[in-house]
Amino acid sequence: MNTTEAKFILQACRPDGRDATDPLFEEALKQSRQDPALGAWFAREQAFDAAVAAKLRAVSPPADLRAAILAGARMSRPKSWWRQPRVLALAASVVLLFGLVAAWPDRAPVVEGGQLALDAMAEMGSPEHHPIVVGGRGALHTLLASTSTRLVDGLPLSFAELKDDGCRSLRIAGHEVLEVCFQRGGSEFHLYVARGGDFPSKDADGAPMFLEQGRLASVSWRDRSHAYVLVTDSGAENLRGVF
Amino acid sequence: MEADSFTQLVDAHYTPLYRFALSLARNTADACDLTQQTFYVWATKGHALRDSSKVKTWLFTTLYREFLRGRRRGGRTTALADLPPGEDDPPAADVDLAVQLDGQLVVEALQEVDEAFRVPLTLFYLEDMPYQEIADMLEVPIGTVMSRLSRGKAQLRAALARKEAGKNIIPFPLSQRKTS
Repeated sequence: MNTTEAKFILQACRPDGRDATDPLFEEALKQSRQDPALGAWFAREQAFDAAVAAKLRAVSPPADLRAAILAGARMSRPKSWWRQPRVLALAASVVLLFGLVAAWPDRAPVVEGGQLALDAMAEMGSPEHHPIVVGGRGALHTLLASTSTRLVDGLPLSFAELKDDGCRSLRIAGHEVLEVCFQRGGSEFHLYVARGGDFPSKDADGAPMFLEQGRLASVSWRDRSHAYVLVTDSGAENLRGVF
Repeated sequence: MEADSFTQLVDAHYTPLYRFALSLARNTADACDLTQQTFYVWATKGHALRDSSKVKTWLFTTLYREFLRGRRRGGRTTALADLPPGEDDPPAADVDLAVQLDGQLVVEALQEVDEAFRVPLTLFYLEDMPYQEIADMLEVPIGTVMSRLSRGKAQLRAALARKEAGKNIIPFPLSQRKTS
């Protein structure tokens, strides 16, 4: 390494000593210790750099800059990711999409009848399920509450009339399902009624299907127009007695 | 980022960032704007930085990029090829010049250095960043950083000499120029 090359490297050596151990400078520094003229040049260069660095370090920011930065950043701090407009817009789109699917009966998927029973039981077992509402529905309630009525014999009802009558309406798998609550022998029962076409039977004979899940028992069956699920938390025996 | 840690971040870095900004922007108002803008960018995008040891470099790089962005809008660019060459054999620096001159004049002299050289030169004097990080920030090899540093120092010495010469000139009062 000649002197010019050594000077090129040494002029980049910072005066605070941080570069003294950097291999990048090792050879040039060694040369400056062996060459008195180069050493003197380097000493003056370091002193000059130290003086300029000190002048630069003496520059103070304006007194109000810190406060301005903090105030400005507070106003522009990003919202949580889920509050950002793009995420909100996306979420709104998803909700809208689900809403459209749910509100468009022709587009709702056809769901097998057994699924209706499972979903009805899940709905009844959920914390959101309403307390039983008994009363109203006139003749239908009288019929359901009567100990002589067996549901398997058929129910004189139509989906449209039930709906007009103000039955509780809910959605299962995108389809409208109506719920009628009644009591018999001190036990509570919930009858879910759906349009038969929305929940076709997998079995050709459409035989009743009994299910038990935890404290809930259900039976699902169908007639020409409707699919039904009867759910109770009073036990399978009671359920069979009503059915 | 919590408010406390953001305040700590500002306290740790806003002064050297302002000094760097001042050397780039050449006036206090623009330097303040650049420094503020840098922390604004941090407040909105800094959470994406995973390596906390890179915060300082991130801030300096962001400030520099913001400066370049603003300058592009102003359409002021200078090609490196148009700038004067460096010195083959740099003379011994005039230490007294740097020591005796007022700090403001030294900063002004630094601001007269061409921007391409001023950026590595200022980072060199701020003594805040390793060479590799300066090179990464400028997107050039370390050898190029050193080369620009050399040319920047040459320009700085010349600017300091001009400041020193100008300091001894006593302005002639305009009112006495009148001839009758």
